[in-house]
Amino acid sequence: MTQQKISVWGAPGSGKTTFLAALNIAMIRSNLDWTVVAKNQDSADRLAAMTNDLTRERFFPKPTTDVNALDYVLLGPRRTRRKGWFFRRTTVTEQTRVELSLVDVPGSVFASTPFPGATDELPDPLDDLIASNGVLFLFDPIRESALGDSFDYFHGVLSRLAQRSIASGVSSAWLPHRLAVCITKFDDVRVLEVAERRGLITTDPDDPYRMPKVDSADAEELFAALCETSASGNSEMLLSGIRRFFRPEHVRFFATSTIGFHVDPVRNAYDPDDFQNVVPVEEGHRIRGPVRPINVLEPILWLADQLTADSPGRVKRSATDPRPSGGRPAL
Amino acid sequence: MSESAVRLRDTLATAVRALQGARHLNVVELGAAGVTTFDVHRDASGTPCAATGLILPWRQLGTPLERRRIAQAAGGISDEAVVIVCSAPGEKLPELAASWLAEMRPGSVLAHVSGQSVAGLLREVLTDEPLLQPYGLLGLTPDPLGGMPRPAAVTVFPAGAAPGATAEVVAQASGEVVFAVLSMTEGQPRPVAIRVADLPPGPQVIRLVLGGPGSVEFSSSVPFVQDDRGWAELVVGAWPLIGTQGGRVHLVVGLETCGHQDLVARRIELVRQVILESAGGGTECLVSLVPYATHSYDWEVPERPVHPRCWLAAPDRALTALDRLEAEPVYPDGYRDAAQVEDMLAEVVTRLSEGSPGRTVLLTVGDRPPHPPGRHTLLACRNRYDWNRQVTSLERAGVVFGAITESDHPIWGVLGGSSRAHTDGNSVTQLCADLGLATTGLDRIPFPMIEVAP
Ligand SMILES: Nc1nc2c(ncn2[C@@H]2O[C@H](COP(=O)(O)OP(=O)(O)OP(=O)(O)O)[C@@H](O)[C@H]2O)c(=O)[nH]1
Ligand SMILES: [Mg+2]
Repeated sequence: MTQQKISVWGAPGSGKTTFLAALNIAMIRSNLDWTVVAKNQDSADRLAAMTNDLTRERFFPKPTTDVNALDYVLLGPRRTRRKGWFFRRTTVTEQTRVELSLVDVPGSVFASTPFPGATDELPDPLDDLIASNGVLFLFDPIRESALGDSFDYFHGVLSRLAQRSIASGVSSAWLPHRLAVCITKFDDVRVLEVAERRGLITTDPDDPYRMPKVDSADAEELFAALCETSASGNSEMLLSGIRRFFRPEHVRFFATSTIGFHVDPVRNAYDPDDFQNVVPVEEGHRIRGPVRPINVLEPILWLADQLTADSPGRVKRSATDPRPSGGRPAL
Repeated sequence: MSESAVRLRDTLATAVRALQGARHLNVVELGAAGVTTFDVHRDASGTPCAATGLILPWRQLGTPLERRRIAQAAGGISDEAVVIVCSAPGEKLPELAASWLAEMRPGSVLAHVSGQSVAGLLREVLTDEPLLQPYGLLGLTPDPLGGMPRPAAVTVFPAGAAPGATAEVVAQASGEVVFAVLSMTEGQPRPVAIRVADLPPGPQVIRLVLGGPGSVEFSSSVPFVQDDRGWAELVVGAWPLIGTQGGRVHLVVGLETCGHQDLVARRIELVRQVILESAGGGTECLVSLVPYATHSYDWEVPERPVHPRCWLAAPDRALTALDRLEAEPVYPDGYRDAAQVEDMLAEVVTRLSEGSPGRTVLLTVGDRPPHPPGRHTLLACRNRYDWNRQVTSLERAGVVFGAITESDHPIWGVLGGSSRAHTDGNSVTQLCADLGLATTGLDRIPFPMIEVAP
């Protein structure tokens, strides 16, 4: 089993920490056979605290001020495999395991021109990105339409990443990473309405609430549409940057909400007139009701799947895909 | 009077009676000497008046320039009403111009008259016109319930009253008092006649004679002095208090009780000030207090429905309710960006539909906007009330809107439609005057006590 290191990248406030906090909840709520287990006490404590904040206290995490490495093992479904030669051949059942090291840093470290002094004590995010095989890039469309600075937190890091890769002898024009691009805050009415206007909304027939969602195949279009509403107009360059530096088959888009939609507790139904799960309060934002993450587990499993498929000697079949390999994982 | 003159008189009377609002009537006389135009319109009190406009000798008629001037005199291509009068029948130029004008203005009325001054006929029509709006005499009237006398307008000439109509009132006062007859135009009344008289002690019978629209004569055993300018402004300023329903005002206070404690305390203090000013304003004032806070979107915090603390209460009871409200702990501040304004409005609409005596003023004191009825960046109202609809129904009921707020949100333009003040409190007196809750000028007007003579 190889260790897969996944780094989380995104502007300040784009939802990195909340995403990691919701991962555990997403696992528990999913009908996929996965669990997340912390590898050390520190990660375990932090995971428990973050989950508690989201579900019991119903507060979002505070802005991150230092580097937090969270070491997890994702335990997947049991699968059987043949072992040995001829007469000694036996069948063994083993559990799919993916080791994940998630690195959460303050979004400010990705700034193209960091504030002097602000990130002095923090390590260069490049070290983590270089050492990772998977990158989770969080794009916050709300911040983008207000500030239009996602690109500032992207291009500087990206070009330095490319420089370093070339310097370290990587000859390909592409970066070696798998990239999961998550459009965060999909539960926000402004984001949902863009998706609706573009006709990108579907519902899952198995979902009792019939909540809106965007298929992964359409999420790139949503991303492009949201870039058009950017305050600076720079965000269109995000897409070209992604296309230039990452192999097309190494990139996947997701419309994500860490907290999900609100469900009317009395009628136990999703109400298209009243679905926002965030309540602005004096101290900031409070979570209104139960957290139902959307596309939080999926990008992680997709990355894990891609990375295990890469590593030699691993089960080649997709860990999450019920269909034969080569097909698009059902997310 | 010739038959043609009587016909013209009727034509002019019909046209004048049809004159409404700011519209004009052009009467174009084509006489032996030339063209004369009269511009008839109603002044702010609804009284019709005429001005002689253009007088144009015939000399140059026939040139394109003069044709245009005649056309312009007849109102050009505007859609104002036109009466064309040929007062020199049989004469070439007046007849020619009359038929030419009538053709140009298909909606106009063409009349012929001879041996009669059109100006004289028009003046007769204007003075003989029955009243369009009733005329009222301002004064203090005794309270049927035995309370303080209240300023009120006593109708002396109803709508439709014709010149020559008379009215008698019994007035009582000692010393110099003001008699003000107002045209009770909807919204803003206009002074028609203001007289000052020095009344001897004891009841005095005052006789009023309607001379025609805009003209009222007073007679009694004492002389009446015309004093239009001295008192006119004060009298009009006092009007909002006098209302049409016996000077009673119902002050409904919508009060936001969420936000910082100091701010809530400040709002309460301002409401107290408004109630005190209204109670001392010379009008009977009833107060309803409807506090509101935030909706709860938190299952751990129970929703607090909007409920009035007092309804149609005397000012002192309303002040007690306010004291009690102030002593309560501040409601936990739930939703930051909006408040139950729409629930407060819905409650007020329901309560008012059960009846409200007198003029109703809704004073909303708060900052947060209402919750929308449906999908929005703000969370929807838990009861799905639509504030827009509630406001419309209050507007239809004739409610006057005032607000005390620091917010620039467009809703406060609506809720503060008639007057808006800041929480710094400087403009509260002005707000009360604007809303007709109190006026600074009223107690300085020496009105007589009046009663319609039996
Ligand atoms: N509507 C909505 N808001 C979210 C969601 N996730 C995060 N937020 C909001 O975004 C804010 C920032 O989230 P964080 O997870 O702290 O963002 P971050 O990227 O870790 O920020 P830094 O640590 O400062 O770089 C939260 O406080 C929430 O207000 C989501 O799924 N939906
Ligand atoms: Mg963070």
